[in-house]
Amino acid sequence: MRSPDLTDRILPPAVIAIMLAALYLVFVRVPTDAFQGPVQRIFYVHMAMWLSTFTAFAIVGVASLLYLVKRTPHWDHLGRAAAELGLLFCTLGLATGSIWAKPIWNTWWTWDPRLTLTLILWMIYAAYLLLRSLANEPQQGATLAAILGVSGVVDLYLINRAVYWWRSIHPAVIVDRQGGTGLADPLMRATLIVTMLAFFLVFLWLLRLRLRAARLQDAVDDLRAELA
Amino acid sequence: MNESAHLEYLIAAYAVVWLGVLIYVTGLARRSSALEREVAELRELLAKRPR
Repeated sequence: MRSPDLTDRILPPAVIAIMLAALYLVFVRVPTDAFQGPVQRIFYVHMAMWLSTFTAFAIVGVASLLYLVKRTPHWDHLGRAAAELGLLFCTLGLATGSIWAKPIWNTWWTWDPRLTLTLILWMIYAAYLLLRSLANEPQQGATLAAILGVSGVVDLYLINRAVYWWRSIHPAVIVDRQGGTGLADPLMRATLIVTMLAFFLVFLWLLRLRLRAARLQDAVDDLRAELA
Repeated sequence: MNESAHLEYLIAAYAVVWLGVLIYVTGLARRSSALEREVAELRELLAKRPR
């Protein structure tokens, strides 16, 4: 059993400290939105989910492309690990958005362009993982999934542009349609940054753990082959 | 707006996130422990095997 390295020792306490700071800011310090009331505080965790989701799926795209070019298992492992985490954060992003939409839009879901494209994104990466588990030949599954992983990046771009290109009820919060910021209060901006950083560190931590599991699976496969 | 308005939605959103992360972490930890045990067992089998 290997001993934990420096990142493994530093990352967990850093995640806990920044997460506690984020929760303090969200529930104690940040001013309440004048129009939406306390429910607007969902915004901070909702945005944090999307930062991790977009980073995860961007990693899937790059890792898939590199796997298709180089054919080394490392890129395949990275793509799979990031897809799993991207799907987790995407699910939580959709869930928090839906919970926020109910009191504000008076509906759990609407077929808004950004929401619809996000649901498609969720389906693309669910299919990516499903392909991996259903393929008879692991290499064939990895190749097909990698093609899907690269094409999913197009949807990421469309989601980003959706509120500018089409009529949408989804707000453009960070940079609004007029090019200004949607968050006027500096403490609101600070809370958003700290919460996004906290969940981004959670994402990085989980990615490391998931990659370690992939390496363990490789070791099991190698040992089984040696024993056969 | 009333300060307590829709507070249940706020609590639900944060609870869903933490529950989701917790379920994933628990599953990953179980999977990793099982794999670590399997590696140890296979190494032991390999060491016992006559060369």
